[in-house]
Amino acid sequence: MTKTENNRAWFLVLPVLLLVAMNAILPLMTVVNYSLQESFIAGFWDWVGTRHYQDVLASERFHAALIRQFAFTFIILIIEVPLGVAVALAMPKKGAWASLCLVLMALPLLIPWNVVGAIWNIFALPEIGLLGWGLNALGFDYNYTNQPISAWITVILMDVWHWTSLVVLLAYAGLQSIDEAYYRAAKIDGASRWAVFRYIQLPKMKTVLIIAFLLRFIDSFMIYTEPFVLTGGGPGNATTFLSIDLVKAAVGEFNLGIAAAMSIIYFLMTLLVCWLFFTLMTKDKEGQA
Amino acid sequence: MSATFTRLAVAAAAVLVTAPALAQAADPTIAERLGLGWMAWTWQTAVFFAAIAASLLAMTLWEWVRPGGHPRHGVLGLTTTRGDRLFISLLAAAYIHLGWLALATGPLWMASLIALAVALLVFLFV
Repeated sequence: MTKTENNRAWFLVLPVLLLVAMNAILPLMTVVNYSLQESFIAGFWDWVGTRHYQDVLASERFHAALIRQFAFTFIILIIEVPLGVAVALAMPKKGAWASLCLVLMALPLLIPWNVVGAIWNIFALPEIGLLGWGLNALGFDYNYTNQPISAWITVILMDVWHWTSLVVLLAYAGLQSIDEAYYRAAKIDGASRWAVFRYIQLPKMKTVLIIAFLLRFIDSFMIYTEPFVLTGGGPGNATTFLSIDLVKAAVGEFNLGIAAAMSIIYFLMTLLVCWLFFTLMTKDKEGQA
Repeated sequence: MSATFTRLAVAAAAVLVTAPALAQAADPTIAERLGLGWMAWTWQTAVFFAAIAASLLAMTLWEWVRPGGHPRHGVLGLTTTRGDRLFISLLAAAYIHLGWLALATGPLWMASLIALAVALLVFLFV
């Protein structure tokens, strides 16, 4: 029985644990409590057991929002990750241009989410927005306020514009960490550009790309502000993703029990995916060790 | 040592799990009086969270008696510690109960039995 770790270190993380308990665990416990009860008047609760969960799991509205959510997440991941890698590969490796590119890439990430929604709301308006007016002038029938396809394209474009930079910065950091000796060896062997990417750059970027994938999955899976400001979940329910649907149930309809059950299901889905990614990442590290 | 540990863990778990229900039975307004009325506590949810807290406490005591987390390479091809196996069991239990509510018509305690069986398998083979 040998001690391999200094357990006193746990006392150093105690403040963080207390903070997490206050801002994450207590609210989560409250949501579980709400999900099993019904409230008609503030402060008065009736026990309903698992009825809200059964209602949510059988609800076509929830299924539709879930399908839209997965579709949105899938689409933005297959666009943003390859695009981010491509941009990172095209960026200069050092010098003033590299710094300029990094600053430009960081700019969209600095803009608050509601401002991004407002910018794209105006930018894509068919009468006055540069994008909307321009597309209509080119002969495309585009109006994101009443066409579901246009609304989806706009929401996806907005997300790609806002978040591809994150993938770029992570991929760029991964590329910068590759030792120059690998490139020299590849040059001596006469490796093609594709071979360098496939056998040197991509394996070396694997960990940061998994992180990028995980971050983008979580962010896109809980997206709320940008599509809410841009389309309000419309036209109809075309861009009503899970979080928008949840807020509609909780705040719009004051159906706290149903919203809480939706929240728990939503949380469990995110938790499962995070665990899978975390397992993949740590497994990868074990393989490298 | 092992027997002492087992007795200690069982006693701590029993106290933790039964305390909320006993407290609620003794005084139904206890949550309000503790300033936790906003959390809408019921004895059922209190027992649920106490059970999770008890399992965490038991794991802590287990780790204290047998440090190192007992890592092993299980059937999933992953190296897991006791904590990982508890996490997988709890997550699986949540999904089993949700799946039961969505697809089955029988009583929910049957899902709980399946979840317990799965947890046992996870602790033995994962």
